[in-house]
Amino acid sequence: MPGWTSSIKRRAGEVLRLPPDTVEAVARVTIVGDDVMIEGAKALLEVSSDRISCDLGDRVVEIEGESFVIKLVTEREIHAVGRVRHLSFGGGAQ
Amino acid sequence: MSDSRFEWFLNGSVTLWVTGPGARHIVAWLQQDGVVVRDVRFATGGVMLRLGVSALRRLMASRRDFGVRFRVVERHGAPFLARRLRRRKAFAAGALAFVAILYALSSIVWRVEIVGAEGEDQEAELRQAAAEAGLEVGQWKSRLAQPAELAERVVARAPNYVWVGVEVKGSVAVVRGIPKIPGVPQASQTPCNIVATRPGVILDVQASRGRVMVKPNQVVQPGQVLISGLLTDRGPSVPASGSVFAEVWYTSDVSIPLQISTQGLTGASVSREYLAVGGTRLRVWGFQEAPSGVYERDAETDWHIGTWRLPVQWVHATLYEVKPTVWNLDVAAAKQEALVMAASDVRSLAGGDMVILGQSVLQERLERGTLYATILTRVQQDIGAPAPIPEAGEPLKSQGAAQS
Repeated sequence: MPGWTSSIKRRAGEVLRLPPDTVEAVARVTIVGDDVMIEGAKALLEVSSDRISCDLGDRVVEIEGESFVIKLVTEREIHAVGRVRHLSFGGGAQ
Repeated sequence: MSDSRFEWFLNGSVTLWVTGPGARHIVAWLQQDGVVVRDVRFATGGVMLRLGVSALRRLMASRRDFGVRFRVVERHGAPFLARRLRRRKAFAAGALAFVAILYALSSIVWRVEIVGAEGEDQEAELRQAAAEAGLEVGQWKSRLAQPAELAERVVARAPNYVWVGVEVKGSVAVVRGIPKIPGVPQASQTPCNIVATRPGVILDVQASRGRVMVKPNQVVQPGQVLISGLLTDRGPSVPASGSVFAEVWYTSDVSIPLQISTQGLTGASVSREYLAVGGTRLRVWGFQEAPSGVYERDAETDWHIGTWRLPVQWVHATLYEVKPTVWNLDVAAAKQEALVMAASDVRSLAGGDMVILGQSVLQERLERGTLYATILTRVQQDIGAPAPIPEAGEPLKSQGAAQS
């Protein structure tokens, strides 16, 4: 059934030309210059001044860089500022 | 929990310095707990982070489970600000007093501006009326009545104004007035009589107020009451008014010479040109012989250099011939002339409106070429003039005196 609802949501989003993260429970990782934004995160796994690791639900994003300052941490969002060196997506965390 | 910056300020937040074995993972754990964390900085040996006050309580409770120790570095937000203010009572009182004084001063009328008054007297009158109505410098604005009511009160106290408007702009009250244009002065309301100013024979009495005391063809003397202001002997008195036309006689003595000699210009003239040097005049042109009697008129030039008048000037002189003329009048014409002169004499004596009813020559004699005549002129004129009513008992006496 979750497959059903997700496929219907995806179809609806396509028809209405909405960004996918607004209708589906998918994560959005935005990097603009030195600003890093992770929306729709499930859990913050690890955070330090050179590494942010975050569970997005179906995969894990790992951001490596320098002198990260985390501006905001909430249940769904992580905002950080820092020089990004490397960005990688891993498989499911489970 | 909410994470808007305003709510963080309202509820208060703290910056913590977290150390201990769990410090590396504290942010991840807090995130999984649903706690909002801001401004996380990593340093060797610890983490600097900012938490809401309610989250701090939760962290206090479970700091042993996380294996962290922490120290509050900085406090932000309203609760801490309030506590600091409570500690500095004088400062807080000063801030409150400032606001209170500012509010109080702004609710006082500081200036009353008068607009529309002409001259100092009118302005003072309006200012006085406004002050009596409660609108003055130093008055509380809350004590003032509504502008419309205030304007009504001011205009009731300012009799020389036809309209007054009041407007309060901040701490300035503007009183706008339209002064009355002075009308015809009211006739005097003090009771008075109309009395005769000259002796005469009454022709017509037109009284608009008062009791008529005389009849046509009655002879009156100066000071006699013509229209009385007393309506009854003991009744009310009014200012008497009206016109009392009477025939008044004037006698004028006139003298008319029968032979009048005058000097007149005949129209003939000769002209001369002179060069005036200093005080002497040199005749340059015009050598015609002048007639015996002349009237001379000179026209001198005004030559000058700068402001210095030259001593040499040109003079143009015209000599007009003058001849004596003798006018001879016959006696009839002289008599006519005498009547006209008498009429103009009477006109200046009588003053005001008058009508000449007739003239007659009382006496005439011709003496050394001059007609001397005494002429009687009969004139119709208003002889009434207002006079104060004499005290009780007195009127009979004065009336009697006038008639005797």
